[in-house]
Amino acid sequence: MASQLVRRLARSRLDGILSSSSPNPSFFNRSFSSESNLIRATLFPGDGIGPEIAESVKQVFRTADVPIEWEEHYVGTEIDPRTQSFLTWESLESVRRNKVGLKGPMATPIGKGHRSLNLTLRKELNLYANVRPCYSLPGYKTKYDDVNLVTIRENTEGEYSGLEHQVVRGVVESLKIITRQASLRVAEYAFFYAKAHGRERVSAIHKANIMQKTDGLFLKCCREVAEKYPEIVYEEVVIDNCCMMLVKNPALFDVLVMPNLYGDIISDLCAGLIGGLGLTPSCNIGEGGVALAEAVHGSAPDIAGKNLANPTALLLSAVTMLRHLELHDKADRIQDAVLKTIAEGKYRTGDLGGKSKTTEFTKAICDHI
Amino acid sequence: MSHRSFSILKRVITHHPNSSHLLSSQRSVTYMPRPGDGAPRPVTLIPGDGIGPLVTGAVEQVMEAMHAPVHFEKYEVHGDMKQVPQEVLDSIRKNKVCLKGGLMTPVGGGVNSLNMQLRKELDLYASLVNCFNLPGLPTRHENVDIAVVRENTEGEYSGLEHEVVPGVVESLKVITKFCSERIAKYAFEYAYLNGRKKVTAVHKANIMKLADGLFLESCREVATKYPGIKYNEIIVDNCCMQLVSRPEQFDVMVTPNLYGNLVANTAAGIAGGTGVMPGGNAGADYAVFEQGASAGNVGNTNLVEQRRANPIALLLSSAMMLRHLQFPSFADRLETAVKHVISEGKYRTKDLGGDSTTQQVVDAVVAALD
Repeated sequence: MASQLVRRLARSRLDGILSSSSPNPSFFNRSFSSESNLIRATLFPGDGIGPEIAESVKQVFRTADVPIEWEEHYVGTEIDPRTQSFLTWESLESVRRNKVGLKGPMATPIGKGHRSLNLTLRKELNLYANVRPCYSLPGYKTKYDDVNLVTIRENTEGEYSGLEHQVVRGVVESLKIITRQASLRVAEYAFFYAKAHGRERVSAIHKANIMQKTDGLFLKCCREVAEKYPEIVYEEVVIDNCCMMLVKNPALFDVLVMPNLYGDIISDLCAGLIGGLGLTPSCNIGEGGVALAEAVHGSAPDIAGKNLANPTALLLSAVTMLRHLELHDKADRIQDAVLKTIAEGKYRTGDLGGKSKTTEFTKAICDHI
Repeated sequence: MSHRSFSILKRVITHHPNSSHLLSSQRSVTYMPRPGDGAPRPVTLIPGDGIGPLVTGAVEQVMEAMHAPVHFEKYEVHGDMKQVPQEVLDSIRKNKVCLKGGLMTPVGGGVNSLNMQLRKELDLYASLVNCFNLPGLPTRHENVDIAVVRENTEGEYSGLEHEVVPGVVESLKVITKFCSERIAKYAFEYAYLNGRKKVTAVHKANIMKLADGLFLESCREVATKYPGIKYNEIIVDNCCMQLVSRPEQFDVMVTPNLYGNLVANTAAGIAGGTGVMPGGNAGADYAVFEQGASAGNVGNTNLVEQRRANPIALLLSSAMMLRHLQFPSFADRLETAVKHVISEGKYRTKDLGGDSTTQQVVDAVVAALD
């Protein structure tokens, strides 16, 4: 057991040395020499409706001939002392090894003595950026029809550092931390993403007129990175202006990069613009090129097992994962199939106003591929 | 003319924008003043930067036309001053009421926001933004009638920041029981005095357990003293999502400083834009009225040059001010005239989809006064 740990430590340190010595930003530290072989990806089906929608994803991927081999991991029933949570060390190692993963909704068990599952994943895998592409689904009418933006949110620090204390009775202080390193990291990813996906504009959202040093540092880092990408238009928008413009005319925005708290609120606002969390894809990017796509909705225990769940969020998240792997043609085909199925309106699950079952919806998507 | 304006007013007050029948015209029970109440009250006026002078000029014109019993004491304050001049503060302390255009806060550093300074000096702890659908103005959302009460002095905007080591900056968010309690009391009192049915507290206590937890505790305590008003809580990201999909579920919202900024601007945006929503800041002794939501209250140079800023927000805020000064019938006349101009649709500035200038809108409002 001790020798296993030593070996594991040695291996991870070696990986760390290798990745830090590479001159490029280490978003794609994977060898594509085995293109013809299958790419291994970790799959966390999750709880509640998780297994059903994970099954949908597997079926759709099989139909589309996507060269991915899934490694399934489940949340354990007891706390693993190595990770201080219900996620086992093996699961985390699997994600680190494979560098891509897909996660379904996980219900955090109530109780003490362990970290929340999302927090465990975020800290252990060093997931520093949360990317949510928000685009209006044709055929599913909301009050906003022309949304096409991507929100990139810094995920590790900011207001959610969790550092609070009571100064005296009735007075509480909470610390908001902004570091140059984290801000540079997320700004680099934002511009890299914009360039890789053909986006034209990156907007940094801030409140630097009031929080001059903290958001000022964030903006300085964004400006530095912007200079390296002269072909991408860079602008800075104060957050209250941003909120107002988003609800009046969301077509004004392209890529948004934000610190943690603003990112949380704005990304949920954008999810609301397109129809809710049940339709929004999301992807977390970590150090060393790790990408963990996830469905951000809840586990819906009341409809679990009844074949009523909507797999759209998990499917679109899986598409985001494929784009990260640069399998663009497969990603496009699956995305088109999903959008066409929803647009046609014949097969829609309950939350979209239809009456189809999960399996029928999945089959309709497979037919469209 | 007064019958029609009264019935329009009654229709708006009873929150039924779709009912089109004219109610039987009747003058309401009259407001009985104390002798001498009609003497002109002095009000401090701060035109400010950008579109500020344009829109405060609009208010002055309309007040003149109505012969309202207020006279303005104008003071020049600009966003790049180091601090608010002492004479301005003295004037506000004497008059107790102030009307303000926008003050620009330079981004990036050095100068502390003058808006924040004003609020801290005068202890204006409650900021109120009233967001509602104006009849005749098409928006994506119907049935919006939200009042956002936002704590104005502490929270994330305390301005306490420092650099720990180069490259690491800390900012303190301070929440105290004292401030949370008084803003909760203000919110419930506002709901009680205005016939509102529900107060919603907006928070992020699942992550910031101690800070927002303290805020929620204070709100819950105050809620028990108002059993006739419903109280519930909502997490801020869910709140924004609900605001863009089903805003009719919200009535009065009470929030700490930062969330209030976002929620107020979002609510203003869905109800028609920050160019039309009125608002103000209130403290125990003083009240400062300004355009409701903070976004765009200084405008950009284009608007200033072409004189196309929207004066509606400040006009409705000055109506709020007239009510605060206990001149209800002047407030009613002003509001009716403004709503009439909006619903007619002929004179609208660019942010509402038209292309009138500020002066044209003001002339239309003056003409609509009875």
